[in-house]
Amino acid sequence: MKCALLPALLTLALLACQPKQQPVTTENNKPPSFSTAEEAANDAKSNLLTVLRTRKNIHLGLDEAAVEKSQPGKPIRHYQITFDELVSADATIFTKVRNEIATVVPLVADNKVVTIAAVGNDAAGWSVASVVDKGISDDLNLLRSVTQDASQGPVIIYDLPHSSVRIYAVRKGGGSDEAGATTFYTNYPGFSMQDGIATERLLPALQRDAAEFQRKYGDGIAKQTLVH
Amino acid sequence: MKSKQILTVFGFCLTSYLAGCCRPGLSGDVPNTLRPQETNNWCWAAITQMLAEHLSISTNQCTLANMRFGGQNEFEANCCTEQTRGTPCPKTSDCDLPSQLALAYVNMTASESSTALSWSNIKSQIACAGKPMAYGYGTKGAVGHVVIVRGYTVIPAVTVRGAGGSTSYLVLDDPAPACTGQQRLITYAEYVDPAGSATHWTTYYDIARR
Repeated sequence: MKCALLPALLTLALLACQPKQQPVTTENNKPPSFSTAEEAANDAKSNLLTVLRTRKNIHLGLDEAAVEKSQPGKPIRHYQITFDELVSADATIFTKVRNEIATVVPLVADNKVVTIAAVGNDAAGWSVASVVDKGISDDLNLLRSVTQDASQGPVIIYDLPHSSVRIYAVRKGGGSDEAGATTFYTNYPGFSMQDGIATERLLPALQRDAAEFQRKYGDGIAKQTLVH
Repeated sequence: MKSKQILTVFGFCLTSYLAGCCRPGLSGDVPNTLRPQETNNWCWAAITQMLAEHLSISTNQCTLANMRFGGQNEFEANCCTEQTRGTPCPKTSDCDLPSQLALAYVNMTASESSTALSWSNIKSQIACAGKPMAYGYGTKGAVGHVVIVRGYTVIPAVTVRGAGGSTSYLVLDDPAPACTGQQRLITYAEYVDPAGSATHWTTYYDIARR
């Protein structure tokens, strides 16, 4: 009996140990594309509502009714400043930064930013990159209250190369690209989001700190291993 | 004796069979306690803490910062000092610096990939292996950011208005903003190739004790 059982079990075991083929899926990993950033943001909102209603294990800290009521606001361009750009810059740096990352579209209800969608643009059009960023939402709400102007001029977000604190630029009346027409808001050490500041005050502090940081940690920056 | 051998082989193969049977669903999630970073620059410490805690290794962010910034003797640095007395977060700005994950210091290992994992591998890590991952990204010439990938979900298209259908998302435990942290979502496409100048730097997966 035992002799018969052994080959049977081994055969079963061998069959069982065959690697399983990955199941064929129809999941499309490229999100839908749209002709405008606002349309992509609406797609993000729709996805977000599905998550809030049906994925109870995901805790995004958002009120479903507020998200449902929200509408896409003006898209906000978002740039990453590099060390090279900052350290060697003059007062026109904020008009010359080249590294653009995902565009931020605030989802607004009752004159308040409920959350944001970040959207990217490629040859196929605009598509969702990410949903929810409490840091940016909170900053944009503070900015709206400080400037007391819901219909303020264009806002631009800048990420610094050496610090996770962001810089928000508000161009008065949607004017030209001239840096002189722009006011900056930030919680960077020594400054407060409550007070608008000019490039001439902000830039020297940023350059001094970035140069010091680059001197100490240049290796890690080059190897793309430093994170904050 | 022979019966024992048979049972051992059978048991091993049954385990292999069951493991091979793992078929991740439309959503998956790994239990993870979100640890907000305790300074503006300590995402690396918060991610190390979260991954370590998943393996029941106890550590905290300021101990990691003391180790990283205090030289050989971890007690040389004052990174556990509160910035405001009686308020545990944020910690002193003296140690508010970027760095790298400190997995070896907490006796952990992880596989590292400079390219994105496939969607199947992401689902397998989460739903089959039950392991969180870490994902670092950024722009060349600037300091990057790192987050925990704790889950995934596929949102079917309600109406097909664009060129595609469903959207695949990763669920992140982001230690930023400092002292609050947040859960947020990025599309799988964004993880593979972040929008604009940012790029995928490293995915840390298959975490284990050393």
